[in-house]
Amino acid sequence: MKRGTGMIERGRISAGQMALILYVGCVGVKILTAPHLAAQWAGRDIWLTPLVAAVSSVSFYVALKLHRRFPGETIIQYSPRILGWFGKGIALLYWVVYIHTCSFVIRYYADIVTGVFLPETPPAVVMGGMALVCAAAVRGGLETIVRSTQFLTIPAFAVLATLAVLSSTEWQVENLFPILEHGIAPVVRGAVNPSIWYSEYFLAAFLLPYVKEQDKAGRWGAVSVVGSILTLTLFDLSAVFVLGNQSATFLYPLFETFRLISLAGFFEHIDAFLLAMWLTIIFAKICLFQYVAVLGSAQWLGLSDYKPLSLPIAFILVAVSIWTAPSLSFLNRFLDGEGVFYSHLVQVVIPLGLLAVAGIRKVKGTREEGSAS
Amino acid sequence: MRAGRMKKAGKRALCLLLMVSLPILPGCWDRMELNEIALIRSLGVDRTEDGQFEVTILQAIPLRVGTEGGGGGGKQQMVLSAQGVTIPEAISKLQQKMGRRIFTGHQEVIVFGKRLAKTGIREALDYISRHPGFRKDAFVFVTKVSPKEIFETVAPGETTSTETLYKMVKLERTVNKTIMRVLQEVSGDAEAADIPVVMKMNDTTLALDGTAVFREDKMMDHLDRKAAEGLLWIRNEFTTRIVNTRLQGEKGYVSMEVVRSEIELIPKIEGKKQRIILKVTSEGDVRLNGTRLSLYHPSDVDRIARAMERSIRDRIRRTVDQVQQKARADILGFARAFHREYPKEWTKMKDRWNEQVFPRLDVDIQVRVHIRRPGVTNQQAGLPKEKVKDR
Repeated sequence: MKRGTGMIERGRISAGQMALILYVGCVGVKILTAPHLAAQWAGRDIWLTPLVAAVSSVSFYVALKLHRRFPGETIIQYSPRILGWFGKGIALLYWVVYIHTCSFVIRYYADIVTGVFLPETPPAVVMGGMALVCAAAVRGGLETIVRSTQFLTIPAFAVLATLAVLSSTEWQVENLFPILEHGIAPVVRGAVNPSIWYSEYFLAAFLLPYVKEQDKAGRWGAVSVVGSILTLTLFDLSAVFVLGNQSATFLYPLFETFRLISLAGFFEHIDAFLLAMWLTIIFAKICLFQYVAVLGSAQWLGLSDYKPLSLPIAFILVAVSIWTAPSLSFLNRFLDGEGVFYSHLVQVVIPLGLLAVAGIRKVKGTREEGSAS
Repeated sequence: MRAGRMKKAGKRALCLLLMVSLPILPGCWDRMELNEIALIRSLGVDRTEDGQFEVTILQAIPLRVGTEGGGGGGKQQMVLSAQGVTIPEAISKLQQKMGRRIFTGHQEVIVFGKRLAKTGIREALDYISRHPGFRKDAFVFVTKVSPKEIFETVAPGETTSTETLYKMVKLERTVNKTIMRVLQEVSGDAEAADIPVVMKMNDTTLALDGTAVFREDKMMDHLDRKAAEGLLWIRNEFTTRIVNTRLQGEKGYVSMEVVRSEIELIPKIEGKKQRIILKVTSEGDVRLNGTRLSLYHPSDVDRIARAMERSIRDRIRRTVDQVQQKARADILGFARAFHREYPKEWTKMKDRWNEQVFPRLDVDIQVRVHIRRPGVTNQQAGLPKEKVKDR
């Protein structure tokens, strides 16, 4: 069956770093596309959708509980322990799912770049460039990824938040009213899309084993969730204030919002700048998913090292990204509809099932907590 | 040892790979050099008599330092038109006429011709908002002549006619209508928008000529300058405004400059009847006193204020009446006020708002004027004291 491969990830991260990279993983794409999909349903109440969608971040809690039971192991490792050969199959499913999800992210990124900025550049080149850079980061290991995330995304978020505040010259606060005109149902329907991104907090199942301060992990996870709620709410609000009823019209509302910023007539045309900021965020997000796919495959196969896999998986990802959807409309439609069942099945329901079975069968991890070798 | 060397070789290969990928990352396919693109400053859309779209572009030609002249127009700008069944087709025809690539990233003005405005601007709006290359904060105008004529009217001293239009908006601040705002209004509660009208005075002068009123996406009416002025009061969009008035039993005018103004829309539904109260509160300073009144007495100042109120009320009334009766398009923001105040009733009124509810709406205009200062003199400047009217 499965020989103990031990920990093939040598790096260790702090709980705060884990919170940051999960936060980036949650808001990465949504930040630019917020509130486009939600606005179709929730109208001017989109700023409430992150709050509703955050229910899905229960996936983080499930991952935490599972990790408490199997300290120092990722889901790829403990799933076979719980369910034997069937669990091995489930572990494979996770690997496939994260490759698939990562392909969405790469696809979104490529669609924005080729659709808005570089219309003549072949998408494969855009995707390939990004996947290669991420592959290099993944080769460097988990510490490299979180360090570069810290280094790149914190300033980027600061700049984006500043821009959101700067857009206040264009704000029309009355766009917000009347609040909850059609009750809470449209808001819940609008929360479907953001909830998919929130359910990705389950990625913690791959990061928790390498967190140094296990006792702080839960608290930092909560901080991360609250942070992403606040972030998305801020950008949703600025979109409502600036675009009003046009929030649902544009695919990249934040981009349109910031394009309208004009400070004293000289601080204009900041769209390319916005893309540069967002690029660092999306880089971190793709890195995280790619890392999970690479680590997962290495653990599933029982390899002693995952680094050699980063490049081949990058190529697989580019290919999958091209195949993943025939058009951007299709992708958006999926992530605003059926996608919610898919993501929640994999990231909430199955993990809960694993937890339940582990409880019933009294399966426990072998390692002592904290004695990560 | 060998493993170490392998690792080194791998690192080297990776470095090489990254270096090789560097030239493809900055987006070589889309590199744009300034001398390969045509900087479009304005876009004009109109319909021809046979129903085709006519698209006009104004290309700015950045002058090299040292070329002589250029004030006569035509040197620093180029105006081109093309026709097509759809707007993109017309644009691609334009592209075929030009050596450079059309680049709209710095486009600031969009002008709709009258025929297009009458038949509907929806397609033009869709094209502009769908295309990533167009800025959504370009200013929109409507013109009675063709956009081409507007573009060819270059004021002396300006490089292009776009400059003139752009500065007009920036100075007046009253006709600040961007594509984004038009989109919001056309798809808003009232489904009505107003777009400033630009006209050609003579070969070198452009002027603003009131406002075109749109219901849905079609132009319904043209408010002239005087009628459009009430809009500024209702929207509270102005920098400085002068109000003139005459007092009963007095010769001469009194002018006031409004420095602050607030407007409140208070919708009321009483049974079956809908009313709306327009509450205007303005503050201002006297700028001219052509009468013989001294402004020493507060009571005289109050008399002037009452007269000012009347004159403001009349202005607003004129606008409201014309918009209600002729255009039947709610560009005054009443729909929003009702929607916000009475969301339940609004859903019932929504569909017949412009046709039935809005034209019959009782509009109650209440104006309060506070004259804060008489200027820097309260006497009659240029009159001996004996001739000043004293009570």
